[in-house]
Amino acid sequence: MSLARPRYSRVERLTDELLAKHRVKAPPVPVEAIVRADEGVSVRYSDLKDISGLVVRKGGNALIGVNRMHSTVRRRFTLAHEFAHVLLHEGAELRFDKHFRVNLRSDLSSTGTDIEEIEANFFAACLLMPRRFLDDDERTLTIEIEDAMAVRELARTYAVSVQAMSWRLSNLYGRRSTHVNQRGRFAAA
Amino acid sequence: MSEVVKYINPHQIGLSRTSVTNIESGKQAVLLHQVYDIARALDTTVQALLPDDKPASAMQPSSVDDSVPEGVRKFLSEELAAATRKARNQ
Repeated sequence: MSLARPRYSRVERLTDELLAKHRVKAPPVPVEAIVRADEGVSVRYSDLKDISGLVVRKGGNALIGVNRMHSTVRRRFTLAHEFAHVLLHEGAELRFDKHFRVNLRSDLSSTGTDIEEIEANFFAACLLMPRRFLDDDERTLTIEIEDAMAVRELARTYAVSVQAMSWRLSNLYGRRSTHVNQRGRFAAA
Repeated sequence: MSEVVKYINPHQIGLSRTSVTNIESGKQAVLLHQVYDIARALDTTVQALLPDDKPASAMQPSSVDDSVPEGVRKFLSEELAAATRKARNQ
């Protein structure tokens, strides 16, 4: 299936359902438990060299590989990203991701592969940093995205990278958060 | 219940109905030439009748070539080794 544009609403509905099903009430989201609860999916951590994560599919089952040499926050993002491919992107028997261009969000001139990557990144962001949690987090009411300390604090609460949190905040709260977009796109380090 | 006897005449391959049923259920050993006869009678290949020789739990793509990065190939070979070990211990 070739996608014309990212299915943002569908992806967020999916992450909301997962959070509800697993009764996740507060960050950090137990992403590994959520993925492992899916009976068709297994997870293995391994030294993948320059690869962040991969998915192998066979007969209705999926095996997710995550680079164990990466930091905890990055492994969490990778796991969520690969899980998104399992749930949303049928087909490819073997799929691997070098590093994610987290800020890939321009819907124009995106190839089908880019769109799947955008969806997977959006899924990871919605799962690890649910909109509802951030909306209810009083720290986001007053946060200045330029305030690296404040973003770092939030990132720690959600167990995500500072970059991933900055990106999420700028997407959710727009112009209030400005410094994030200066670099255009970056990896979820 | 036997499936094979529904599709072939056992005598066509020189076996009794009971033998075919027993072979299928694993109660009776089968000779290699009989496997070929059965395959021919079913209009299929010997390969199609035999179970996969790789452990079922091994998650392996059907083809991995040089375009696949080293990290991924390493992961796949470790996975195959682990699944084979597991299958052997069962």
